[in-house]
Amino acid sequence: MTRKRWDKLPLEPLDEGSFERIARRLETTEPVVPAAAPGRRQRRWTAPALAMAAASGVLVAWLALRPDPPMAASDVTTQATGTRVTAGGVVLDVGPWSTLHYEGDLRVVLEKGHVLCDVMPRGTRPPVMVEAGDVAVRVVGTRFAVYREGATARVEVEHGVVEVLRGGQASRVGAGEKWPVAKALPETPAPEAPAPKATPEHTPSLRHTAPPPKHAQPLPAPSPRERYEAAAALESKDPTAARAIYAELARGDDAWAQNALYAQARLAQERGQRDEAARLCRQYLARFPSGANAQDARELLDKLK
Amino acid sequence: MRQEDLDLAGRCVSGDCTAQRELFRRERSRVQATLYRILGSNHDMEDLVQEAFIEIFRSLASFRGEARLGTWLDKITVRVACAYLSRRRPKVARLEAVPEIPDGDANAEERAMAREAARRAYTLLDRLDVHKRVAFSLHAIDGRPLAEVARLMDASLVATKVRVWRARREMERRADRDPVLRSFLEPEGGGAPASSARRGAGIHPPGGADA
Repeated sequence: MTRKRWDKLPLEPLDEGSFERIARRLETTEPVVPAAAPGRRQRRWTAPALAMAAASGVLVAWLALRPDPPMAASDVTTQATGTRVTAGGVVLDVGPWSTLHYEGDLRVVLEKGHVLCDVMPRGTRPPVMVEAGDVAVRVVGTRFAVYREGATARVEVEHGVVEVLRGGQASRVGAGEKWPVAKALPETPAPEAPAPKATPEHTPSLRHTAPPPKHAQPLPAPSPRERYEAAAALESKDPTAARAIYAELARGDDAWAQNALYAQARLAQERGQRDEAARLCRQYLARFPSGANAQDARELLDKLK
Repeated sequence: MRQEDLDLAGRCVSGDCTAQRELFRRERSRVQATLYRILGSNHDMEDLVQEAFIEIFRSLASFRGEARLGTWLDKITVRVACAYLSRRRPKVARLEAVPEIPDGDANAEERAMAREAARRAYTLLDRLDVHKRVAFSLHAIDGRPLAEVARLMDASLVATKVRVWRARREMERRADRDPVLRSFLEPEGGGAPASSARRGAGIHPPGGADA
């Protein structure tokens, strides 16, 4: 058997149009502008070298100080799977069953659901404002999640510091902290019938069983089952978002909370977070000693030891 | 070069859109070529290049200049390709991304043959597990040294050698049973072995080739 020349296999480059589309998608609201083009044209018209240098200086100053172009506004509504939106230096991981509106990389309004925001350091650019209900979050560069809950919102900061504004009061929330602090949330989702390891006939179209919210919303709230399934679908693609949904579900006390708490432990173990996985298993066994996944949790705990 | 890379990365991190565009323009072909070598198709390529650059921009703050920016980008690109293969392994090599062959092209037949061989080779690669496939693609097809492949895949040199060796054994055995592939991949006049191959010429931007 002779050794083959695998390097002879051809390589097909991508065409310019495709790269342009990617650039536009990366910038989302800021079109790709060949910023240097006006300068080059100007230099061609300017004969003396000194004048050319001066013109370049003016151009550089203008590029640095020019006002931001008007931001195009966009709306995003997700279904069972979330999506990722990039706007300038802001990456928004929009969770499943969420609706938001954003204006460039300056303002995000979360109407429903949750969003994980990753904001690159802003430098001289104005801070990003993320609004959800009566809460606004001001940020200059960090990673944090905002959950819309009825007329208000909850904020969890992964790293960096944000300023949460509500009712004229500002609170600074640091890495690993949550807002509001350990107080009952203003609204909780309507309780639903337990559905452990549900079969399709138990939960046909649970999306429509929740009562309509008091304020108008474009889509009905997703059921715990839908949220659980959305989290399961996100596990490989975006484990952080999946974990956030599981954590939210696990706050309840129904069968989906049990499933979600165990799934959180399993996910932590799969990601090599052994201490966190063990802590979640112990929490599961303390809260649901005879739950559907109690045996699984014990086995996982033994394995982690 | 490193200082230039660091400056560019720093400007990108500080939110300088011009720098971000410059980085995209400079490295887009490199990212696409790496993805193509691993995947063998431009199917989903726009999404993947976008995903890679989102990861790149998100992670740039951690770039310290220990390696060249290109090598650092390759590592992220390989990670994106691995994730893609893990979540959605294609069953057949796609044909839709292959450009039309212009009439009157003297090399048309040769190029058609090359594309057919590539289609068959990547169909065989689809049967390997992700790590073996990626290691083999980067070393045998893209011509990167084993040590570099190991660094890009966050694996030990020994593990990488084993992966490449096993993948090559499987691939060569299967290729020998395919007359088109066998004839296309035959070394010309006992030419250089695949491991000493150079990376695809003309695809990477200047300064893109790393040791």
